[in-house]
Amino acid sequence: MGNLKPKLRLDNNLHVLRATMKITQAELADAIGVTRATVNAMERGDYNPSLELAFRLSLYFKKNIHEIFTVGVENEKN
Amino acid sequence: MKKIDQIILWTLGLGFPVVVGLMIWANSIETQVIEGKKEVIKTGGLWDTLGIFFIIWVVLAAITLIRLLINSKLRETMLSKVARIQERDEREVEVSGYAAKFSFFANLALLVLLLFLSSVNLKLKRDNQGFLDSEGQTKHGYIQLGFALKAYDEKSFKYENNNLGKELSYTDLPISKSGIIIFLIVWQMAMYHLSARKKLKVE
Repeated sequence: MGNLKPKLRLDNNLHVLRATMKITQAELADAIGVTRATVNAMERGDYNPSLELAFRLSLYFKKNIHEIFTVGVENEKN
Repeated sequence: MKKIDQIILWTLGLGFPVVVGLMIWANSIETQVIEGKKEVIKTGGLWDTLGIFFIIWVVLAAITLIRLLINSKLRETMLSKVARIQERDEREVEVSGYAAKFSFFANLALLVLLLFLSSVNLKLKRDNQGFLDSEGQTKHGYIQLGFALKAYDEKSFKYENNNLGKELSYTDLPISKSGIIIFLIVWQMAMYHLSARKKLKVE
């Protein structure tokens, strides 16, 4: 897909924020309008949310997007 | 989904076991007539009532199936239930997209294989009596490729108008197996590109 080099990896600290607020994955899922499986997939890093969902998380946690999501370089060789 | 569509779908769904039951009943009556067990079969008012229901069900089914082909919204609402596709959030939509692409290519590969199998004609022969052919061989092998788009049986759609009266009958598709497979391949590709072009179109 294109020539995006190096490939970027999106990390997040959702589980930390969730633990701080003492809420379950299901409660967070209900609040941002997704399924619990999606919250779980995001926390495990298996799914990168859309910009809209990222903003919903940002509004929910009252944090800037870059405080929730961090960007790393996945593979510098490519 | 509109209320009327819901009623139609409920009628079709709940009526299906009734239609199957009616078919079994009709088949048993036909068998009795053929075997000559009963000269006059008393079916009563239930038979007539179910017959009217059967006509309504078939007409509704035909209309709904044609509408499914035309109406994309109805198609998505109804077939997602039949195929048990869940799209409750954006991740499930993405997964559904990947699965649809996977299914599209798997179907296409299968259809191309079926097209090949429907058009290949292989014949292997060995003459046990030792007769030699023009090339001095007792073993022969033939392989041919070819297909006909039109079905061999042309009686699928028939209209007769003679002294005895008029008759219009339809029993099957007048297309060959290869024809159906080619149609499905072209249909799948056309629908994919039609849908993709709509989304990729830059205003």
